[in-house]
Formats: sequence, structure tokens, C-alpha cells
Amino acid sequence: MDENKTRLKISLNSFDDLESSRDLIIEFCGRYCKTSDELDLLEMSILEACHNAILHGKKRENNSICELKLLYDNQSIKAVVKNYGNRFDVAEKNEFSIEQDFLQYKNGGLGIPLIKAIMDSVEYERKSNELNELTIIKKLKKKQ
Amino acid sequence: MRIKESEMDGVVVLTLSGKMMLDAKSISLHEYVKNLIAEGKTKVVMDMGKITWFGSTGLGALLASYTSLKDSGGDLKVARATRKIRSVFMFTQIVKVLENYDTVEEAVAALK
Repeated sequence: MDENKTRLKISLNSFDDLESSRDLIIEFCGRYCKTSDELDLLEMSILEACHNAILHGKKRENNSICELKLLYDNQSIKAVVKNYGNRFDVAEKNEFSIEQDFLQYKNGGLGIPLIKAIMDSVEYERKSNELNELTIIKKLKKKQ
Repeated sequence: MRIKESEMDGVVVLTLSGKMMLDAKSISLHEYVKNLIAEGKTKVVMDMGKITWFGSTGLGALLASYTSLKDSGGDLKVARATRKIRSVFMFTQIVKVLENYDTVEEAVAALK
């Protein structure tokens, strides 16, 4: 197996599924993260993306509500989260900022700003048949 | 998420446990805090040592609770936040306004 390229695919149909998959996600990311802070924040971003996908997703025939793919390649971890449901716009949300999101907090909508603040790349693509695909990438710290 | 309420030296201590996430079974933390404010209780410590899941929903609930308490002349302190929660506080710089204490007693003392 090429140690520089590994992947994990998980199908999720409920929050319970997500919770029981949490250790797998941590184990996968933990192989490559250099610090516990890096791992904690990466885990939070991935869980956040999946949580939203399950919350807003719709069951389609034999497909799961949410599909998560994790890939490690060239010092980066990429998470691809797919669900069927309403379109959402990552571009209209800014990164989380203490001034905007904390001191002027109204209601909800912190998921994408948090993910944007933590990850190096956040891309959304609307596919046919109401399929949403969110791709988030974190470049990992180099070994000291 | 479960909420257990107690009182220490005139400060309300909310012991939170379980998952701070959005689902039908969760009690709204912000609603709980708003009810406390309506009863005139505006100094609150949240003991987060037993939180097993913390994401944007939990963060939003903390921000909303903090803002409501501040607007009512009160304050909010956090105690025993887990390492993961502290990582989020540090990264988002929330730690600048929402202080975390190692023990509930220290958090209560900071509100007196």
C-alpha cells in the first residue's frame, strides 16, 4: 500500500451512525496529524460537515443520507461530504471571526464559518439530482 | 444534552453532559438560560467537563447565552472545558471574552 495515499469511505444515515464512526475518523486523521490541536480541529470540521449533511439531507432510494470520503495525499487530508438536499452557498459565509460571529451573534449558521476558519480550502459543488458535494482540505503541519 | 442546575454562593451552576448538537432530544441551552434571566438569575457558570460532542451548535448556544446574560447585566464563565473545547476556544479566540476555569469553584469565585 502506498503510505502517501490512503482513503476511507463511510456511509451515514443518522447522528448515531456519525457518533459510532467518530473513532474511525479520529484514527484515520490521527495517523497524519502532528499535534492534538490539529487533530481536534480537523475532527471538529469533518464532524460538523457530516452533521449538517445528515441534518439537512434527504434519503434517496438505496443511497445513504450522507457519504463521507477521507483521503490523505501529499501532506493533506481531504474530506468529501455528499448528501442530497437543498443547495447551500459556502461563498456567502465568511470565516468565523470573533467580532462578527461572537459579538454580533444572532442565530445559528456558524458551521461553515467555523469550517472555513479551520480548513485551508472549502469548495462546494451542486451536482445534478439535488446532490451536494462539499470538499474540505487541510494541509498538515510538517514534522519538526 | 442534559442540564443539571445547582447553586453555589448565589451563582447558578449548570452542569452540562452529553452532546451539544442539534437534534430533537436536546434541551435548548439558550432557552434554559433565558428562563434563568427571567427569574433574575444572571450569574452563571457552565461546567463543560462532561460534554462529549461540541460543534457549531454548542458554540452558538454559548454565544447566545453569553450575550443574553451580558445584556441583562450578568455574566457567564465556563469551567472544566475539555481539551477539544479549549482547542476551539483558542482557535476562534473566544477565550479572549469567555474565560474557562479549571474548576467550578474558581469560576464561581470569578463571578462573585
